[in-house]
Amino acid sequence: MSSTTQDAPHAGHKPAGGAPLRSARRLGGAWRGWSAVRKALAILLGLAFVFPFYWTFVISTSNPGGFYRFPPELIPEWNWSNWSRAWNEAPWVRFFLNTVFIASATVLLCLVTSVLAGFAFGVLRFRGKKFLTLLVLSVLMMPGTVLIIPDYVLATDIHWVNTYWIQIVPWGASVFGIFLVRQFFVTMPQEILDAASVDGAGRLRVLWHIGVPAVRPALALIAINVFMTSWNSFLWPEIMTNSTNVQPVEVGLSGFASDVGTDIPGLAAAATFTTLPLIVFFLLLQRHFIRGALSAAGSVK
Amino acid sequence: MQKENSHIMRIRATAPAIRSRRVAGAALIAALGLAASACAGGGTTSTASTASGSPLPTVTGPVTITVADAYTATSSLGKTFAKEITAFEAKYPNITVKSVPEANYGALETKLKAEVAAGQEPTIGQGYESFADQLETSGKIVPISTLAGTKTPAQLSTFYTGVQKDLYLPDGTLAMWPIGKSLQVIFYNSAMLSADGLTAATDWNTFATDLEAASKNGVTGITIDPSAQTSGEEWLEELAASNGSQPYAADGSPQFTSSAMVKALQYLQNLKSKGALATGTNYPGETALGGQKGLADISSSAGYYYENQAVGGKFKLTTTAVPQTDEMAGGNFFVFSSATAQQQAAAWQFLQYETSPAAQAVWAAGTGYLPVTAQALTQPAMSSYLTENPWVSQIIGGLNTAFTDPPQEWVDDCGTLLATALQAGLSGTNATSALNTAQTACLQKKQADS
Repeated sequence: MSSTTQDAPHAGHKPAGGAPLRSARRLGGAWRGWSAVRKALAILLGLAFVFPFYWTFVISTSNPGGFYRFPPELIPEWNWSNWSRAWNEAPWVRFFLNTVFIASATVLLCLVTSVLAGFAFGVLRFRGKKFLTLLVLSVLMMPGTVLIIPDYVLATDIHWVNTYWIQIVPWGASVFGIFLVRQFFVTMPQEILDAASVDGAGRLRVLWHIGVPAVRPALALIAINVFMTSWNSFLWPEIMTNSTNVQPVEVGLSGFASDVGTDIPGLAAAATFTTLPLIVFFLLLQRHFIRGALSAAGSVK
Repeated sequence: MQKENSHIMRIRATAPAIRSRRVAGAALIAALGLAASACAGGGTTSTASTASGSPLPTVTGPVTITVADAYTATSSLGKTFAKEITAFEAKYPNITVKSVPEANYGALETKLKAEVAAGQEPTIGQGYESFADQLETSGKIVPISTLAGTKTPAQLSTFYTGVQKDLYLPDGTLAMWPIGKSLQVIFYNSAMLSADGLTAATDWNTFATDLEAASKNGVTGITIDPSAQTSGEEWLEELAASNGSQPYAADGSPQFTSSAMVKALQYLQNLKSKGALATGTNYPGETALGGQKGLADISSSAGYYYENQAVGGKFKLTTTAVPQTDEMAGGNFFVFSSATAQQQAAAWQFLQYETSPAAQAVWAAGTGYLPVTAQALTQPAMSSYLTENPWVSQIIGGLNTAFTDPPQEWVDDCGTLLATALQAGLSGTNATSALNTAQTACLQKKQADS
C-alpha cells in the first residue's frame, strides 16, 4: 500500500514519506546552486538598471569639472548648487504638472480606445473586420516624424497649436494597445461572452462587466507603456507648442542643451528631480506591470 | 522627415511667378507703409526710402514681433538674448519682442518649415545660409535690402568682411543679418603643453606632431566626433582649405575628390593610426580634455563656456586660433515676408539694434560668440571680457578671412555625406574611395535640388 503510494503519487501531492534521499540531495543541491546564480544575476541586472540613475545623481551633485574625470568619481560630491541653479532656471512645477496631466489624459484615452477597438476586432463579427484590423496595424509601419509637418498644418487649421489638446488627442489611440486587447479577447473563451448575451446583457454591458475585468492585466501594461511614452515625448511637443504654460518636462530639459554645448550637471540635476516622481509611480505599479507583462506575453500568440 | 521637409521646401514657384510675387510684395509693403503713414496722420516722418523711391514702412504704433531662435531660455545664449530684448524694448517702447526658442538649429528648422507650411511664420527666423536660400527661393523671406531701402545698409560696412559675405545668397540678394559668429579654435591643456615642452601649433603639421608627442600614458592627443558637422567634419573642411581647396566651389558644387580633400582625410587617418586621434560622440573632445585624457580639443569659440565648465579649474586652458585656414559658423536672422509692414519695420529696427556696437559687446561677453563688428571691441561691456579672454582679440581677425560653406540648399545635406565619408575613412575605408562615394551622392542631391 505504502509502496504503491510511493510509486504512484497523486499529481500535486508530495509522496508519502518523502522522496528517496539520494534524489532529494541531488535536487536540493542543484536548486541551491541555481538559486545563488539566479540571485547573483538578478543583483547584477538590478545594478545595471539602477546605475544610470545613480550616475545621473552623482553628476548632478558634482563640483565644477567633477563630471569630467578619469576614472570617473563614483561617490557623490554633494554639491547642491547644480540643483538650485537648475531649479531656478525654469518653471519645473508647471512643466511637471503639464506632463502629468498630458500623460494621464493620454493614458485614459488610450485605455478607452484600446478596449473599444480591441473588443470590436477580437469579439464582434462584421464585414471588413480583417481589412480594418490590418489598416490599424499598418499605422505601426509609418514613422510619426514623417507626418509632423502635415500634422502641424492640420493642428493650425483647427487652432490646436500650443494647446493641451494637440499633445493628448493625436496620441489617444495606441495600435499596440488595440492589438494587445484584441489578443486577450481572441484567446478568451467565447462561451463566457455568449452566456452573458443569452442572459440579456447588451454588448457594452458584456464589455464592461466581463471583457474589461478579463483584460485588466493588459490594460495595466498599456497604461504604463503609454504613460512612459507620453512622459518621454519630445519632438512633438517641441514643434507643436511655444509656451511654457503647456509644455512638458522634456521640452524644459532641452533648454540645457545648445548647438555649442550642454550644461551637463544642470541637465543631470533637472533630469533627476523630474524623474523621481516617475520612478515612484513605476515602483508603486510595478506589481501590475510585471503581472501585465507576463499575462500579455502569455496571451500574445 | 528630412526628405519630407525637403519635399515641401522644393515646392517652388517658377521664376516669373517669383518675380511677379516680389513685385506684388513690394507694392503691398509700399502700400501698407503709405497707409500706415496716412493713419498716423503724417506725424511720422520716413527717414529712408526704398530703391524705387517709395517710403519705407516705419513703426507708427505698438507692434509685436516674434523671433524664432536657437537660444533656449536656460542657456547663456537665451539669458543674454533676453537681456538684449529688454534693453531694446526700453529703447523702443512701441515694439514688443517675443522670443520663441528651440533647443538647436535642427529643431528650429523643422519647426520653421512646419510654420511656413501652415502659413504661421514668425516675424524673424534664424538659421544657416542653405535654409535661408530655400526660403528665399520660395519667396518666404523679404530681402534685407528691401527692409533697409538700400543694398548697402550703413552698418554692413562695419562688419568683418567674412561676415559681410556670409549674408548674401547665390543670387546676390542680401537676405540675412547676423547676430554673432564663431570660429573654430583649439583648446589646449596648458599643463600638458608645458610638461611636453610644446607650444600651441601654428600649422597643421606641427599640430599633428604635438598630438603624437602627447599621446602616451593613457592620453590621446585629440578626440573628435566624426558624425557631427560642428566637430570632425568642420576640421576636415579646414584641413582641405589649408591644403588649397575648399570642399565646395562657389556655386555649391562638391569638390570632395580634390587632392586637398584626400590629403585632409589622410591626415586624420594618419593621426588615428598613430593613436593620436580618437573618436566619440556628444562632445567627446571636451570630455577628454576635461578629464585630462586629451592634449587638445577643436571646437567652436562659442563653446568656451562649456570647455571651461569641463576643465573646472583642474588646469589652465590655452585657447588659440586653428592653424592656417579657419571656418566661420553661426546662424543668421531673416525676416519673413508674411509679416505686416509694421512688423517688418520693427524687425529691421531690432536687427540693427542687435548689431550695434553696444549690443554686440553685451552679446559677445555674455555668450562667447564673436562680435560681428570691430567697433564692439572698444565698448565698456567688452573691456573686462577681453582682459579675461585675451584669445578673443587674437583670433577675431579670422572673421575677415574665414570661409563658410556656400549657401545652396543641398550643401547642408552634403555636409552629412562628408561626415559619413569621414567616419568611413576613420574606420579604415580608403580615403579616395570614401570621398568618391560622398561626391557621387552629393552631386545627386545637387541635381535633385537644382
